Amino acid sequence: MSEQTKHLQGVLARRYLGKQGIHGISIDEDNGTVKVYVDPMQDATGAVDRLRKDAGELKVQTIASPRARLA
Amino acid sequence: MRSARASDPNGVLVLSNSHVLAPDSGRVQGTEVVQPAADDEGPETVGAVLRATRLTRTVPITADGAIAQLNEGVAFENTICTVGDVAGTLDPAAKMKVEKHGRTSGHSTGIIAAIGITAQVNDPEHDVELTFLDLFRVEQIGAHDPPVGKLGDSGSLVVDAASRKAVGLLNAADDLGSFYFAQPIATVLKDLEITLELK
Repeated sequence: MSEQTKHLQGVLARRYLGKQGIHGISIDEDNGTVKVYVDPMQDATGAVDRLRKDAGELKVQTIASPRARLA
Repeated sequence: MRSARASDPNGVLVLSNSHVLAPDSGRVQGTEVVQPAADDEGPETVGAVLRATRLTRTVPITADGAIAQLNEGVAFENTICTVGDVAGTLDPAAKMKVEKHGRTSGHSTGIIAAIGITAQVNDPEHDVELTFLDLFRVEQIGAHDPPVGKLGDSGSLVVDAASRKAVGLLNAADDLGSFYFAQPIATVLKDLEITLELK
């Protein structure tokens, strides 16, 4: 992962992890996509819309997924 | 596992997660390690913790790992039941097919759906969210496959099905067993200052 991508992922994680059910963020450099993992029981529309603006030209893919626990 | 620290005692080490082996507070080194788990039947003391990474709410976590020294005379096999011998280490990659054998779900094969995830993981014992860096996510291959990983599987080594090389250490899962998280093995080895002992 490039330093620029790492930096962007860090910024997005600080801003959006824990907001409206967002519990995971990753950036796939191969296809220029930000994957956003969202609790299926919550509506993250507002937070994802704001994240989309921060992600610039990258595509944003929302993935409904339960949270993980320490196993 | 072997320690890469010259000051450590020479001997075989057991690898698992910090949240499995290390106590919440107090002195970590020397904490008794039992096998099977304390909640299972007939646990016996097999070793003592040598060191563990710290899990804290305030700082993002790179590795949830701990090592323990086996007590003298404790028998062990340098292989993973139902998975087999490990051929080395490898970085995880998206779409890689991987296997593990866990205490709860046993043997499973899954697919790496994403790498490099920053994720909040719930610590049910303390009811807090911990933030982990650089996790990879392993999912069921088919929707009707048995659970790929469940609570109680932590500490399982995740192995690339093609090369038989270790790619990660499982540390979190969802309640239904549809996916689990693991940390890249290179990070775990580096943070704990250990090397993988091959058969």
